[in-house]
Amino acid sequence: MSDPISESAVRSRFESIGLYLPETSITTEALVDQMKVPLVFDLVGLTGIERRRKRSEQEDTVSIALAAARDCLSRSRYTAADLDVIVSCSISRLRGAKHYFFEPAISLWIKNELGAPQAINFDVANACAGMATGVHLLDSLIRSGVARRGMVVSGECNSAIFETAVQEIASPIDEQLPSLTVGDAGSAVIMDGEGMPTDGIEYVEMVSCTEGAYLCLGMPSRQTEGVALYTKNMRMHAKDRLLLWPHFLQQILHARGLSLAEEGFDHSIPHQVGQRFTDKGQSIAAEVLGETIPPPIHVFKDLGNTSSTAHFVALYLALQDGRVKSGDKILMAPAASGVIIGCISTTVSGMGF
Amino acid sequence: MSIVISATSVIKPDPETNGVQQAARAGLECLSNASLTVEDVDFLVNVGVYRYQNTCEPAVCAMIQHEMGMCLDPRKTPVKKNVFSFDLTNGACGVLSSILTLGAMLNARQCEHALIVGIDCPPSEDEDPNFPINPMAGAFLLSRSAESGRGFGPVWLRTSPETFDGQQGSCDLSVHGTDSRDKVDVVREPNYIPRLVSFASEVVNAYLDEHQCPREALLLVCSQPSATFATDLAEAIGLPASALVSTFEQYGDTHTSSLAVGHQMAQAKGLLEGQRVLFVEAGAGLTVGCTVYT
Repeated sequence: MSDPISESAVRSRFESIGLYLPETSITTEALVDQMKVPLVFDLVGLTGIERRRKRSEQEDTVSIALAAARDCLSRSRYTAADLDVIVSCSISRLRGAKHYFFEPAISLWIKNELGAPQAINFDVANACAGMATGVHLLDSLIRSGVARRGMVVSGECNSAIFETAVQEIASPIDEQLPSLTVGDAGSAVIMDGEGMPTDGIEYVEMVSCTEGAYLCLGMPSRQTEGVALYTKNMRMHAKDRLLLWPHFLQQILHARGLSLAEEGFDHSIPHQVGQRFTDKGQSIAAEVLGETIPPPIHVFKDLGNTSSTAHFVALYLALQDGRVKSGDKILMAPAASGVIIGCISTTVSGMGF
Repeated sequence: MSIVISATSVIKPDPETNGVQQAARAGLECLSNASLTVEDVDFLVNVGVYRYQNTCEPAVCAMIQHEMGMCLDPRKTPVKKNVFSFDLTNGACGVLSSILTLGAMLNARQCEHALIVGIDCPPSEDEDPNFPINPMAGAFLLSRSAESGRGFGPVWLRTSPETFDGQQGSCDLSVHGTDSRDKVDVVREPNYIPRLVSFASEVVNAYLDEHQCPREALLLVCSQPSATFATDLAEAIGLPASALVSTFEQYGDTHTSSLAVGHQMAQAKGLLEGQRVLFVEAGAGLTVGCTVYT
């Protein structure tokens, strides 16, 4: 099919990981204070999100992604010139404050700035499952021998939607209320084909169940100058939707002939949308599977929901603070509007820490 | 295992339906052309760059999948296969970027079928005389095949070493304000087309030479961003004018649907029999993709 660089039977792994968080932090309280109508419920109590990062005026999708990519390379044994593939996975595609680009690819600018002109580049978009989708694709490119190694990277400027939301929210059931939970971040991982059972990606499985495709829509606002996200939150987080993930995990476990306990996960990383969603999701999953879900890693308290980067931001911080140790087995559970769900099973090395 | 084209389809612009619905129609027609249904698809990819209302979430592909009635809720309505869908964009080079990636996914996961759909439409339903692309929806159905001697050769994707995007498509919210949902600006730099011809011919000549690919019995199906791009490219890579499937005169620039439009036209004219097809995509970046299909 394509130039085979090496024969298959390889297992991919996360070789290194990078993070960039903008310096400025804004509290939920400060955000709510900017709203034109009072909030009738306790947002911090409901979500557990106390603050999030916000880009500076000089930062955009490309600069945030680049900072994460450079951090990743700083703890990798590879240089930019060693990368065969670079996949950019952000929802936001901003250069400058408010200039949204459709072409050329964001990944082109990233690879040229990084000094990786030899790398194949393309962009993927799959809402908050963007980086998980990039990992899915790169895993296949590595396992099929098309690529030896590559980078999955995303720079998210989610503050654009909370800036619109605070100006436009007009009622306690406004569709922009969930926009108050997001934050900015950049994340990157380098993957190669040197995975071992003790240090590798066991599987990446994802499915798109699109009955609720129109429940969460992002686009420029017609009311003020900015991008807005309109979420039908009650329907998005209804039990029907939350049943999709345990149903999918059940299929995977059945095919593998294993129980969740027998998989031996040390941690799970759910999507970082807040406490109530995570608790409800875990409770429904435990009910369906008849087993306890591995202990979740949360970073939303200080960072909010960083959309496509969320799982890798959580993994980075957990490796950094020692919650995750070399040899730990992790179940990553992407969940995104669309609706996209997935399960990534990986045993991690230090990934450069 | 090789990756083969099981079917293609093209839907002409239809003012009664939006881009998502047209891409869905192209996908359904493509499956029908291969005597398959939505239940047979493992992966669905949207390659369209310009979209209705400048939507940034969810993936356009999720909405296309929804409109196709594909894998809506497999828990409530069990399906033969789970479908994984996503947007994969790379300017004008989305189809070949997807063929490279989906070939790897089909082989690595031993899956059967991947459907590529796409359309580049203006964000507003109102006619935009400045939007330079003809919004045709196109689709390619790829399948894994054990048949020897058929399928895609290596897929190359190359970008120009110079800092020259050539074409940018964007919406500056600070310029368009509250009209931004309906506005997109596609801007070409001076000398874009000649420089694109030059870079594309450099890449394609290198490809044909490296793979010792004779230029006889080779049909050229390619991006056609201008009236002259394809004929100039054919000449620069040593192909006679008769080898070119020319679509520009009839359809204009169809951007990411160009390969589907060209393949459909070649099929309708009976040109595919006994020919190998040289697929070339070229656009912003500068980015060029190419492959030979046997």
